[in-house]
Amino acid sequence: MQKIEFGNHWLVRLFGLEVHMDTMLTAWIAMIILIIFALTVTRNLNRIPGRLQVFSEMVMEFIEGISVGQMGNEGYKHIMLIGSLFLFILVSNLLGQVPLKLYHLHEGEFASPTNDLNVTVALALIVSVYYLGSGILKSGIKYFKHYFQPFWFMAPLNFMEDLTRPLSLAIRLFGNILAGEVIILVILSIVPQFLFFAPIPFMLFELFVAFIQAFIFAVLAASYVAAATAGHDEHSHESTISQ
Amino acid sequence: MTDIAFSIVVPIIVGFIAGRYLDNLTHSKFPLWTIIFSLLGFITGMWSIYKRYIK
Repeated sequence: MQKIEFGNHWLVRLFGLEVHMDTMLTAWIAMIILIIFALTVTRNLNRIPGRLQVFSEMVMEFIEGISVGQMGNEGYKHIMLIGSLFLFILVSNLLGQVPLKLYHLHEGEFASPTNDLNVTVALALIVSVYYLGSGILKSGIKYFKHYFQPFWFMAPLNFMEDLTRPLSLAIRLFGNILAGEVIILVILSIVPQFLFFAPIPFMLFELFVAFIQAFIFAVLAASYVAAATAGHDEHSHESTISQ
Repeated sequence: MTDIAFSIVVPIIVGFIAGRYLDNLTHSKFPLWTIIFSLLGFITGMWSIYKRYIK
């Protein structure tokens, strides 16, 4: 039976900080894939698009749908953030299904960057800083007025809600991706070796989860930015997401 | 539906940790801050869900 271990990472000291080099490398792989894809697509743009251009335009329209759907015309300003988040998380999640683990490291293993809490917290903090910044840029000091709505004594609740949003975003993504990879590992560890194909249905399901989680993160990020940049009376507007 | 679950659970956990920290800081025997902040977390979660679905 295969031994299952969690939380082991290849620790490297970088600029006085301990970093998880295994997930950092896979995050770089995800970024390189996206950069190569973007460069390849934008090199030969034609009025009559080829297959790759059609595919990339479909992806962009989808991202535009998320951003503009939540924020209206304001959404065009924030497409860069929503698109980057969606694509990076999607590619990162999908990397977890690539058998990178076949390349053995002396410590830790190559896995999806989003199964490391440090990555998901970093992404969630980017969203928090961005929507706070957008709100302040849009309304100035009046932005903080929404903490005292509808009544002044609701301020602690509204403040705590803002505080827990990045944690909620980060733990949701981390939990779902880690759980998926753990399920595959557990199944692999309990079936006999000749049934090595047993986790394939779960791996297919994980492809779906990878997309759904990237989508949920992008939609929630867009709804937070929408709420921050909307008028105070609309501040509490958020989209309903169900999975 | 996981969004609802996380919106309720995360504020409670944050409230619990903050309250526990305050109780340790004040060396109190009765976990007053833990109870207050956990309740505050619970109410925050409910408030968050209410705001989301009332619109």
